[in-house]
Amino acid sequence: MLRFSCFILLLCASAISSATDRLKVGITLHPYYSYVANIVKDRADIVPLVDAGFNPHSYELQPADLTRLMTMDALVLNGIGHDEFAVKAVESMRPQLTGRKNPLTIIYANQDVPLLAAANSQQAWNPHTFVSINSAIRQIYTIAEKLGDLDNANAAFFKQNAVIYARKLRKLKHQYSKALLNTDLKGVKIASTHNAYGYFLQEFGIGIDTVIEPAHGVEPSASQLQGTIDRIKAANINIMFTELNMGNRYVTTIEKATGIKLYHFSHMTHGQYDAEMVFREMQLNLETLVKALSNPSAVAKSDTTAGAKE
Amino acid sequence: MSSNSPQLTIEVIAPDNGGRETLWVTLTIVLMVILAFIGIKLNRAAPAAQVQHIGLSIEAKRVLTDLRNAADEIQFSAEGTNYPSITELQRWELPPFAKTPGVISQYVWDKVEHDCYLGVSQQEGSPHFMLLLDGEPHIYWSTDTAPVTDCHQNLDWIKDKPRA
Repeated sequence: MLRFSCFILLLCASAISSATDRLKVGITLHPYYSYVANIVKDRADIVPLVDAGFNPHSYELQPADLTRLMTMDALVLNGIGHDEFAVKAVESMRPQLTGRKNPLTIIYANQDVPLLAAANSQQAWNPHTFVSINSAIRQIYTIAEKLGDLDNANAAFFKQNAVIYARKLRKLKHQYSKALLNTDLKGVKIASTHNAYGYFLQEFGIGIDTVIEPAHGVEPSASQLQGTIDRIKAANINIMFTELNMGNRYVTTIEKATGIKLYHFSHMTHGQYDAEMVFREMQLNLETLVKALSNPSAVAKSDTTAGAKE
Repeated sequence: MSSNSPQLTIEVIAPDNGGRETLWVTLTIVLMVILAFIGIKLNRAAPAAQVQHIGLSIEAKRVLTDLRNAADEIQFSAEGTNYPSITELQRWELPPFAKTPGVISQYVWDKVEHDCYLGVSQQEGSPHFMLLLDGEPHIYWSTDTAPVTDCHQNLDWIKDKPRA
């Protein structure tokens, strides 16, 4: 009987130990939830720093968020401007977070992404690396490597999952990029309301000709809007990308004034935290891109422009 | 005259001079401007270090991102330092070694040493790329017009930022 009791106690101790040994990985934005979920599978717990349904462009941390922050072993940060609310909290609480028994490890997901400069700003990076397959893969590998350093026993598992997930995303991109095989993208000119799609379009060799927001998340004034309308008309810009889940009141004004074709991309920072969100919304963005670039009016307008230049 | 009469004290009072007040206000403003100027000078953030890749074209930046991804994917998947051939990388559909359908690529890739891959640009003005997997991955690019054939060629290589 005594032997049986000892066995049960040992079993309980082992179960508690394995539960407490699991990494608690914090994330700040929805795409990072998907990345981490696909890397760690069932071998770590994911703790979103903020409850779903917030606007990352203007969020201020609440006491409940700080309590969650204190429970994490690692926190995955965008770190270049899209989760400033978390960066500020980490900076101000650094002594408490690093001085405890298990210091918090900060994972800067963008540390190895070749960053693009922010539009209409100086000395700032474009933080929307998560709205791109190539830059997402770069971040997935960085996160897998850093989590492997924290949990050596699962390092190979994390890296293997990262490769599988990266290949899945890449396959998705190839599936849609085939549709662009015979499309001449040289003359296509693009405007974007929010500077979120530079990395995504770069993957297809396309640049953005004008960004409407004067700064990240800031609506243009009436005179700036007029300037943008003039610029779109003068440069013959034929496609405008805007956000699916953000109400931009000025978009219809631009559409009416210029006749530009409007398409909606997902910014990937809305809704519930979900492991499949990145795959699903990347697919939506790829569908939208192919639809926009296959539009005969966009190509026809760009051909006219090219002809005029010659 | 009586000896008890009060003594008169004569005090000269200067007329209220607006000119002096203007002088002090002006001096105070000048002092404040000087202090503000010094404060701004002292608190200005150091200029950010020049990031090499910013000057690359859209196509070259895409290749650079692909190479940074490929370096990890090769190291995560390879057994030891037995790095895969170009054919194997193309079988993995790993860019930039494998072409992305619908995206024009101007590079011819070759594995010239057991740990070195070379991407030779086929378009004038586009940089050549080199990926060296010497423990840590190292990426270089060069706009040198000389033909590139090996990883030790004395070209004007620019080294990508080291891994953090």
